[in-house]
Amino acid sequence: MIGFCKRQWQRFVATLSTVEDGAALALMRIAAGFALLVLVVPFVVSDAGAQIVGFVFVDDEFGGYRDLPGTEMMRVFGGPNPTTVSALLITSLIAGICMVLGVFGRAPVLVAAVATRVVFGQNPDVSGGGDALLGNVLFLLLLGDCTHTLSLDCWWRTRRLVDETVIPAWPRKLALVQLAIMYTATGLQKLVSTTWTPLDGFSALYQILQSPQWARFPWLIEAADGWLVVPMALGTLITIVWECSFWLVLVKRSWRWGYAVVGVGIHIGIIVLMEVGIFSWLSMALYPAMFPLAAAQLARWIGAWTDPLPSAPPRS
Amino acid sequence: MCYAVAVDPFRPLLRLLAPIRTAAWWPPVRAVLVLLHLVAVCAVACPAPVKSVDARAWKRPSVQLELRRWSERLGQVGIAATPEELQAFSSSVQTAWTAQRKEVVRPFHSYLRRIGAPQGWYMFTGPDREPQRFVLSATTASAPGTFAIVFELGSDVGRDTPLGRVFADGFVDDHRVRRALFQSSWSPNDNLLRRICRTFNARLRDATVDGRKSDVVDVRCSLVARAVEHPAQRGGARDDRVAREITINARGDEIESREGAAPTTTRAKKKPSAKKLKTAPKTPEGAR
Repeated sequence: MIGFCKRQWQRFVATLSTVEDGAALALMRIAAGFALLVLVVPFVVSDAGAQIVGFVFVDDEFGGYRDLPGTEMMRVFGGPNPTTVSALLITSLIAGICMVLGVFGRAPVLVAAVATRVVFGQNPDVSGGGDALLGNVLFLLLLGDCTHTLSLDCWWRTRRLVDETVIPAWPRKLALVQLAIMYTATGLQKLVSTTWTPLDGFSALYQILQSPQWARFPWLIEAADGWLVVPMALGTLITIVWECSFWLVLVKRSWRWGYAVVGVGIHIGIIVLMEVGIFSWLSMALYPAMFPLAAAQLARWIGAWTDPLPSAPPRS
Repeated sequence: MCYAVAVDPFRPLLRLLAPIRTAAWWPPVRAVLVLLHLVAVCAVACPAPVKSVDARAWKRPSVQLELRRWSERLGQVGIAATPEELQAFSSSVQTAWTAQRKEVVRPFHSYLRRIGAPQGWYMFTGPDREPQRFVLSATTASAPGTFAIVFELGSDVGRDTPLGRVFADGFVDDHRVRRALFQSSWSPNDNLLRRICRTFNARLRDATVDGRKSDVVDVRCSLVARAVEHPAQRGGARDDRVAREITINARGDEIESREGAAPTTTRAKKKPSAKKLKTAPKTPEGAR
């Protein structure tokens, strides 16, 4: 028994000691940066966004709908007033742009993690899975050298957009495990309701998509006059099986493409039919963690394509 | 050095830590840290009731229907339990479990909160069988005594009125505003609805409609419940019911509050829309 545990432990240590091309982590960084921009840009550039901020993230003293005592960090930044919240959102926006471009290493990731947490974490009433996932993605990106390749940092360092030298693989692996835990946990949690099971005819999506709170088109189901019953039952079945069994991607590498394709389909469905923020975008931002080899191949292709860039001696 | 700091402020720190990262003891130490992180994530993410359901939530049709269905299904496999018994059992187990779980996951929860990586993946656990949609209506000086809908969540009603256009304007469709309205329908008391209503009241009074200040007199916020259509019971009657309603006057004072009645608000006349394929309303036009 001790020998078995020792062998397993050594295997675990060895798994965390491997190195790989940094493309998967870089793609996660770019996708997470885009998702952050999708979240923050409307708040900063549109009147409606400013009104939303004034309604949900600002203390009632300044026009918000509820009394926000402000988290410790928010008080450090000046409290939940319009100026502080706007400044933090603009900071997040700049950090998001830097993440997409891949400049200043992990610093923009850290800045985004702090700024978004301070703003979005102060009102739990309006915070959901998207905010939780954003925190997780930014934390995971902080652990690895996410601007090692496919970044302006890389170009500045090597005069090439792609650096094929290796980085530690464990942050990417941790992201994959986090993705599996998230999907599996949310799937298992759903089993408490009969609507996600044959006990109630897999009727969950049929009913959820009538909710005025989350559905983009709550009238759609009724207007479809019954022809959506079967597609929705099928969608419910696929969703629950896919979520509950997602942990299999950790043990069956060859199944990852299948799970990813179904996942993209489900998330596109969520984006089209529901209004739940950036959760789907952020979930898909973690998908490169499943495909380090494909990401490396993609990076090599981009590298070959961008190679004719004027080359200069690398600065180190 | 200056270049390194300019490109990546982390780089000097990483260089400082380089001897640690190349030390022979680092891989097992890193493995321990990663393992502890994973234990924390798994412990907190593990599906479980995270807080006790309050008395009002137990009475919600969604919850009651779920209990009835479980009672029926258990009966089919020979386990006799009435919905009331199931509720009592679930409530006691949940209360005990919640207290125990809280103690066990406290250190992990604290750690994950500090690193900004919460693990609450409770998403669409079950459909709300009788969702309460938020309806905002108002009387104006030009039409005193008649509450006309300014905004109705999940519907175009009221949005083609001048006041409705100014009020909605992309603001109410955001998921965070929807979430706040959703929370007010599940809140154990009226405080949240009252606060939202006061904020919307101020917003309506400050609105400029057709170049003039709005002439809103009283503002009413209602949570109107209506059962969703179940695939096995399509076409059945599903009437609206006011779950909660608050009316506020020009000074912001609450002048009326009621629960569990038929809606009395007047729908503004609405042009037929190609996008909106709603079937004929279940209640007579003008009775809402």
